[in-house]
Amino acid sequence: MWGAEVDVPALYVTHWRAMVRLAVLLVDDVHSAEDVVQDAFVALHRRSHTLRDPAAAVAYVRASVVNLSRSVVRHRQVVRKHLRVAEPDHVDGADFHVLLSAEHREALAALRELPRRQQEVLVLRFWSGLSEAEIAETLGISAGSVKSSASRGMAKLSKMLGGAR
Amino acid sequence: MNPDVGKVLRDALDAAATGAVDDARRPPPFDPLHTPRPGPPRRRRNWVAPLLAAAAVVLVVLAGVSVVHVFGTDRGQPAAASDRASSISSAGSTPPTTTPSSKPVVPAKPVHVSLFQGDGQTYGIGMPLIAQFDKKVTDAHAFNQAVTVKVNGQPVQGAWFWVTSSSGYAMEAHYRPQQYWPAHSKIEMAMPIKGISAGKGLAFDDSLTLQINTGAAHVSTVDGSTEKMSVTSDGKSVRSLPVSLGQASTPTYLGTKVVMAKTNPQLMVSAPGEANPYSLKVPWSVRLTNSGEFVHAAAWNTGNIGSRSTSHGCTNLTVTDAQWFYNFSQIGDVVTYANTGTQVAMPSWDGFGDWNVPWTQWQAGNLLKN
Repeated sequence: MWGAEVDVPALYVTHWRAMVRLAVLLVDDVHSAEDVVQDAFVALHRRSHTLRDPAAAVAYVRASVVNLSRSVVRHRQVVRKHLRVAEPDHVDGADFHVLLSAEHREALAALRELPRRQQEVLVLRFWSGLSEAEIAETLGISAGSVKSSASRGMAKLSKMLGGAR
Repeated sequence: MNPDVGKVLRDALDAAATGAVDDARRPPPFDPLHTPRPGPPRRRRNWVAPLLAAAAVVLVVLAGVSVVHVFGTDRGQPAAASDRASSISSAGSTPPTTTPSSKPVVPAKPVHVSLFQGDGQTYGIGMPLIAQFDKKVTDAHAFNQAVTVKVNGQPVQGAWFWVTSSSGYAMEAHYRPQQYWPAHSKIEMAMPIKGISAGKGLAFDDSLTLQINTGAAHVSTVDGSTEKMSVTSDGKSVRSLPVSLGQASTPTYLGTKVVMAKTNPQLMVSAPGEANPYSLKVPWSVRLTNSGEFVHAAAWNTGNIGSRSTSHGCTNLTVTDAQWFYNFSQIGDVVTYANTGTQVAMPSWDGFGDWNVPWTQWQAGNLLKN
């Protein structure tokens, strides 16, 4: 049935967990992360006739996940602003059921302080292990922007994490 | 670039990702017809309806004007003209007298409520009442007015605190009074909210009641400087237990924690990337945080219990003491921590961290305004 086209259900089974993990690092809660990933695969499903290469399909899903996650976070911020609610001290990690060490909690909290673009670049760089060129393609920005976002982000992180010690 | 920071970040992301979505988690069946998340798209749809309504009004007005114009109405026949106008507009798709403010066209979306507690159960004096919602509530006013809580028949001056759910619901609200609940008491909650508004376009679809009890007032105080845990029941000191808390790199949170669950034994696994990974079945474990702080038996650490903090954040007890504390504890009991070598208190969302939120901030309602 799928023939030479991309087999979306198979890709879904193979890549679901990694994509939800990527999304959770970008939106901070598992529920939204799973929604984002569903939507990303649905978008792929709609476009599957135009994609032939599974690698391109995975890149497409990854880019959708990053974009949809950004919308989720933005929407959350708008809602919060609209309701004029005091920012809770922590919005992240609400459902990270794990023994995260203090060092890791601190690193994640510092990451959340960075501008959105820098967060995305660092997550794709250090968690997804993408090259500069791949990150550039995923985010639809130039390799130069990737480089500068990464180095600015890392500089700020070093400062924050160094200063807290 | 600092290679150390890169490594720390990589490990932290790894721990967070694997912790949030563990290897056992299976994808839900793939559904290509999955409806998009409520969010930006739905808001766009919300724009369309008022625009259509406004357009309809404009049409009606225009129709009226043109009819008046065609008939060249003077004082002579205004009734006929307006009759004509309304019959023209009713021939269109919109009802004649539609104005943007008449709303009953769209039925409200149902918001379903469930409760964490079960009727007739007995809890410790620190237990928050927890309501769980399957959709995000956007306005708490009607809810706050409708819901009443009584202790031994007397109304309580408590407040609801609106939070993101950590157990898969769209939202949660926690209710607590300013001080702990009185011991040996009966708590009754009436939640007659069926049909009332949960925000624009939302209405609760069920009404609930709850009746639970509090048991003895169990409050334990853990002090890192003396490595001791003093256990009290109804104000009387019961035991003083030697402990070993979290080491410097994985300190135990400060603040007020509430017993969430008891498990014997509890499987405990290190965070991925932790220097000395472990996976152990730990007997007599009393859970205090979602992130994994327990009061538990630590036979392997007997040499340090009472003298040094060497754990990964848990409160280590001797096996005999842990068994005693396990049997003594009820869900909802209070355990407070001081001098644990960190400034960080248990976050309110990491389990029943509700008592760590200052009262005025609690009353404000957090995600929703009370």
